[in-house]
Amino acid sequence: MSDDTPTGPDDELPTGAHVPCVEVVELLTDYLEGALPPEQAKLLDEHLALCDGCATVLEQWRTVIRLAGRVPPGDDALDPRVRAAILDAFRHDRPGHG
Amino acid sequence: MSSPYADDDALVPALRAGDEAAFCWLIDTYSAHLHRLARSFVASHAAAEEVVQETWLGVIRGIGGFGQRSSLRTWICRILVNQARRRGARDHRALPASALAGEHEPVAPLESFLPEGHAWAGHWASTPPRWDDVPGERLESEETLDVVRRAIEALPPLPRQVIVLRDVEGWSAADVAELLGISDGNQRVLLHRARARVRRAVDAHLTTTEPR
Repeated sequence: MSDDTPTGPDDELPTGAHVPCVEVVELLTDYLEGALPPEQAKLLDEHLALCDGCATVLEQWRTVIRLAGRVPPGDDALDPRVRAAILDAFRHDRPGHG
Repeated sequence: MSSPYADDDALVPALRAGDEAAFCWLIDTYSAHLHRLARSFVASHAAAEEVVQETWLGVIRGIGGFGQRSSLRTWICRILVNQARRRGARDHRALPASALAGEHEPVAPLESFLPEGHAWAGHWASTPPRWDDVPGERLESEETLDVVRRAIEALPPLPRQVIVLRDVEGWSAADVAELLGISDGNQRVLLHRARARVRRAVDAHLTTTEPR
């Protein structure tokens, strides 16, 4: 649906096609979380099947989620002195077979 | 993880029995993750280190009474969040509540959409650049992950906490809402805000800079 789409809003396209993209992209998290009411989810399904721009952003949403899950934790392992102090506390509190 | 301690049913009794190897495995496996989570609550690296230390001391004190109604990891994170919130409340005392949540930056700039008065107002004026033209190795590169990391670190505290728990650490929506004491709806609003900013940062990186 771009500028040169030949037909206006009251054509034969499914209702979802008429939901403005500016609103669709703000619903992507709710959509992916399954938090939309069924009628609204259906409108988004219809929209995303027809709209390249919104489908692209949805794909990017999924990519962001995947990339975020791959960010490694930093090198913030325990400082050796802190680690020793914590181990000491463990030995003291829970004397076992250490 | 193939460690025998990866299973709570083996790890928890070992910790209770004072098994030092089990405890070492626990702190060496989780401290960096806990630090990253703590850092989303407190204002400095040093404060996050203290929160992690306090958390482990809390684990030592509490493990005897831990009833395994949740996973060990969830229980440890709950201790951390309680510690970090107390600490963070002090750190962020000067900030108005709105600064903690930040403002929503639209997913795409408003000028990307057709203006009022157009038959298709609010629809894309030009479709956003795709990322699948970017070579896979660049999309998945350490450089891109670094852009993601920095975008997350630049978020206001609340959206940062939510995206770290949800997308970075992989928690469920229900667990995050419960852990942070927020509604499911608020959890989604904060997550959306966070993802929108990260997407824009990645988009700016991938679509405006030359590949090396």
